[in-house]
Amino acid sequence: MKYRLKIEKRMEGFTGNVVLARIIAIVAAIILTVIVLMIAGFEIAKIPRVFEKLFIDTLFTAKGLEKTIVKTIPLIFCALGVAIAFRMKLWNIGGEGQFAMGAFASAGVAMAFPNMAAFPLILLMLVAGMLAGIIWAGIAGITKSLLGVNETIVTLMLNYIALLWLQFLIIGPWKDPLQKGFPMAPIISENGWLPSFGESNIHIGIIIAIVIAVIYYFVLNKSKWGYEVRAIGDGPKAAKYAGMNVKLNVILVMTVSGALIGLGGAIEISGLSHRLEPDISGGYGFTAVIIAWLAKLSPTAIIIMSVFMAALAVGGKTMGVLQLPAAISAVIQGIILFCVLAFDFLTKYSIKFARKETV
Amino acid sequence: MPQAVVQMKNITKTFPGTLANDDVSLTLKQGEIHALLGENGAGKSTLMNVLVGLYKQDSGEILINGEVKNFVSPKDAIASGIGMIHQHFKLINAFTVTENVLLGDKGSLFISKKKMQTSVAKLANEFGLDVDVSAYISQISVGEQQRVEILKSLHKNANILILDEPTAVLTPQEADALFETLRDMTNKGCTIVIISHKLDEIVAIADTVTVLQKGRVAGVAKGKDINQSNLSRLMIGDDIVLNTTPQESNIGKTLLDVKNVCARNDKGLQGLCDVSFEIHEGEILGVAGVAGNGQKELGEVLCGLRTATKGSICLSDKDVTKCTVRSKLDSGLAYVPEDRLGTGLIGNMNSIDNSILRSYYTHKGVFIDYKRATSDVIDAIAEYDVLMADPKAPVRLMSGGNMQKLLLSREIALSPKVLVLSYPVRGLDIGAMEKIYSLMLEQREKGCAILFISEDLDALIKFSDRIMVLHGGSVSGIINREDAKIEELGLMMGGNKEGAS
Repeated sequence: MKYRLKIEKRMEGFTGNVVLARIIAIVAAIILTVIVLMIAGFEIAKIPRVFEKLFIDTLFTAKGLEKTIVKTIPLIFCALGVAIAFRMKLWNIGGEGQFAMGAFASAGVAMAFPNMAAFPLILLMLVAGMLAGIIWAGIAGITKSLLGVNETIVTLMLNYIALLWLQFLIIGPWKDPLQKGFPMAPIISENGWLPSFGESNIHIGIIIAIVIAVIYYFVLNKSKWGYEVRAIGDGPKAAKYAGMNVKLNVILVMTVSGALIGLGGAIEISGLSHRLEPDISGGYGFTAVIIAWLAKLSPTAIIIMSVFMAALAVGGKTMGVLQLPAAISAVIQGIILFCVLAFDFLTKYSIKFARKETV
Repeated sequence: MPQAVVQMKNITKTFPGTLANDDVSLTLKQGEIHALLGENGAGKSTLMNVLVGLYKQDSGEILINGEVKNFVSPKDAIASGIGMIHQHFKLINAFTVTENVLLGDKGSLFISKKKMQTSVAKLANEFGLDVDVSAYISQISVGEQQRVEILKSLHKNANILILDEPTAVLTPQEADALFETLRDMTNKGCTIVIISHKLDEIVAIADTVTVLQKGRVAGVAKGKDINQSNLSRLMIGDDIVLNTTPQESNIGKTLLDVKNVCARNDKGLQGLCDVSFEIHEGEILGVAGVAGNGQKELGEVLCGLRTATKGSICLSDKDVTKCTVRSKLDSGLAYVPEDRLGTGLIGNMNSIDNSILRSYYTHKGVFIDYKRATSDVIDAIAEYDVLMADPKAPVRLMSGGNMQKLLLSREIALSPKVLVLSYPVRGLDIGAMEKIYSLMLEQREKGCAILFISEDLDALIKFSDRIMVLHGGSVSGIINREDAKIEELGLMMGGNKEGAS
């Protein structure tokens, strides 16, 4: 008698232990990471140091935590923004572009009205950022709704336009003459700076992000409009049968998605960088897609996953100390994502041992 | 005495929380047509999935031709000559019949198209399966597609064929043809298992019937014991074969007046052509016809999902031809669509969310009153005998009957003046069917005008006050119940105009 693994589909509605699947995924990810490090010729004895740098230093030391939280803020905005679009099965992968345009608009406002009082200026900057995000995502929403153009392609392409636009501004018209040869935009007036907590870099953007996550939850799960979004996402035919305006909602959802991401861009300018930088979006728009997906679009999970991804990014930058490239954190990010998705099948299938007939 | 080709002994299979098969034994004899009968969720499909190796039984053993077998995958089952034809065909539309049949064969690197076609045609001929082997799947009818599925199994040398609800997608004529083919095949030595819950066809065709009830064998019937009342008693425990009968009704004023309505179908062609009828208060107008002759278009035009290109629709003297879905809802038109999961209900949403699908917009303010919605659902569950573990579980986990009860309860809660029911009992077991029909009659007594689209001629004659027959998108005729005969309806369904016999 030989034994053979048998993979069997679980009955509809009976999912396996999700927590257990996640734990297995993380253990597998750690093992795989160790293997990758060993292949790269890294000393085995130093491997625990890698994990320490990535997770302990970034989450359990004051300085590390500060950096992590600062990086978490834009991620939450972007992830909430793409999540609401994903909820209606609109694949907005243009977070980068919408974030960049939001940053551009708020920096522009701050540069145009440097002498305005702090409160109205900040408010104006945030509104400008949201509007810019709305326009950038709205283009995809309108073409999708009226002409049936694939929103994935449009949002992706608009990223490149936005990023090159920032490049152009910084090298050209917005170049700060005080920086001599360096292509940099000027620092905005201090009236446009979002308040920070004490001496730290953590600004009140974190509070705005959490408040928006709470609003996101209530709007999506308790309001009539949220109900429409969920119904259209899960059953477009049923939504029409319920008399919902699907075309209008496609535009609306892209608008809200763009507004959230654009707001994130504005807050990044106002709260942290204080000047337009060419790589202001820093990959947040794409990382947000991963976060929204891993979090299964739940706002609580989005916050947790944003912290996690921010920690990986912050920790990754310190890899040089261990003579490792910063790219190692991207590798680990990839491995974790891969493992979580791969082990998700455990919730849909069960594995059994079956006796194999000897013929 | 024919030999037992398959013996399943004391099969038990559990899923977390459910005992799907409990100590079930089944014997298949060479050359018989064996029907597996039971309500939805009685464990028929689970048992067959164990036989073909998709599931592994917890205990019990399977003997094929007297030898104990342990199937680990459907491949092993096919090697032992067992093939299964699923309810939803597994064919590739862009391939020809021949290519589909030979799919998965291990052959040489290059294959001769001509040789392939001849060999498949020869096989089809041998078993009397009439198909065009060079046609693409997308070009052939559902009945032919089913024959291709059978050919696929035969090509893999299966001599034990399991058919899961084979007639669910067929017209009565196609079903008859299928039964002839199956009989032919058994004469050639094949053994056939039919999973079904349609009593009449089982009575017509089966040699042996095994009845399952709640995962256990409720009884086995053979020969003259195979009759409707005996089987239905085994299936649900007592004799209640559709004993709902309509009361004499009080037909009142015209509620729905449809005049010369035309509409396009999904392909952009004429789907409805000059359809005119009226339904009065307290009246059921049955709609008969072979599926795909304008029923879907009619239902959708009435509820506002499809626009009428010509004609007018009046709902209690108000012209609603151009109205949206929502304003038709507001004027009292409820609709139970044909695909209950997809259009009628949203599978991933729970019962509470589904129960407000057609009324959520009437809630006051920005938010949905979930407190009210939840208590309404709990009331509906009790009133309409909907069986569900948890109103917060996604509705796709519910059985067809319970889904339909939930859907109908939602539409009835709108207190409609006109109720359009499109195939309301399709795929339901007798218990659920009974409930749905009695709810329909209850609405009729309340003075609702009902359009009842169905493929079951017996039920149409039994419950409708008048029956309209559709053919090719136009009305072949409308006849009163007293004058309705199955033969005549059958002719009209084929396109004969009323009285032109």
